[in-house]
Amino acid sequence: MATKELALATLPRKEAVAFEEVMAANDRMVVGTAYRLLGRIEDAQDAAQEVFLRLFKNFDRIDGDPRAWLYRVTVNICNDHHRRRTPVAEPDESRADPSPDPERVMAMDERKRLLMEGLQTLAERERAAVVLREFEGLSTREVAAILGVEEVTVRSQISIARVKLAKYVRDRK
Amino acid sequence: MTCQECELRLSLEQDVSEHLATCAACRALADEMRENAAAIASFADDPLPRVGHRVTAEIRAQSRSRQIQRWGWALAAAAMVLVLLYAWPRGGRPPGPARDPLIAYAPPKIESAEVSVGRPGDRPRTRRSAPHRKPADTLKVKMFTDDPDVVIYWLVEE
Repeated sequence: MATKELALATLPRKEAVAFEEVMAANDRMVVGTAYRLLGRIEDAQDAAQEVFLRLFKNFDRIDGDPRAWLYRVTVNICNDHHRRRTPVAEPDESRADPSPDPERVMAMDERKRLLMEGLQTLAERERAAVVLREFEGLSTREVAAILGVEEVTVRSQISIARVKLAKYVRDRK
Repeated sequence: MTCQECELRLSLEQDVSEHLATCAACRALADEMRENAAAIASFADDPLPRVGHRVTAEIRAQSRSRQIQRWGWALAAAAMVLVLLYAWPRGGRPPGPARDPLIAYAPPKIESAEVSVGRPGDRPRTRRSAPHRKPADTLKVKMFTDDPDVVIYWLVEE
């Protein structure tokens, strides 16, 4: 049904199917990255929607694996969102770990909440580098390619971000 | 090794065990980094909402909006054509006030007139004077105009 609608919209049917496959495969990755970068799930959903709409418009121009393109656009859109608003990281109660040890769960949840807050205090480039490298698990080379900087720059940004985050959490416990 | 050097090496995941053995502050920072790494790894298990259906709905809405816009332009263009067709003058004349072809707006100016009176078939008697009428005669008034190609005959039969 959705494919038919997309095909009717602007894309040929074959490309509409491919678009839906790419969207389904990368939905979580884009929302997750946007969430780490923005700190609010509602903002992350808005940003992710914008990312996929851009993908839809540029779908015929993207060759090969679109992940790098998606990461790059996600980072850019989130940076724009970030500049437009005052960051307020809120603890998200729905993200509770179903682990049986409540004390450990609470400690972990608190640390995650502080990490999300801490991310919003980092410089734009540091935040993007640490989210892509640490949270998304990309290689330093991939992060450098996505952000358009040298690998050594990425290493430096991640190193600074790690220390800043550790100190942020330590000072608020 | 200073604490600053230790921080840098910690962040680069290098071995600083010797310094940590003697520095409680750096040890605490190292613990935070380790626990942060574990917490970051656990983010991958968090449930996240999907946006696929929102994207599809938005594309559909934008597509409909574009179609409505296209129809709007088409209707506007058709209306413009109709207006032009209605307003364009018939017969290719430039637009201006409509004229009734049967009505002479500027009749030729009559400069003089010859009047002849007689029965049909008679040789006309002509005189340059005011018209003189007789019963049963045909009164013919020839009027010269300022246009040499136009002469008006006024025939009156009783």
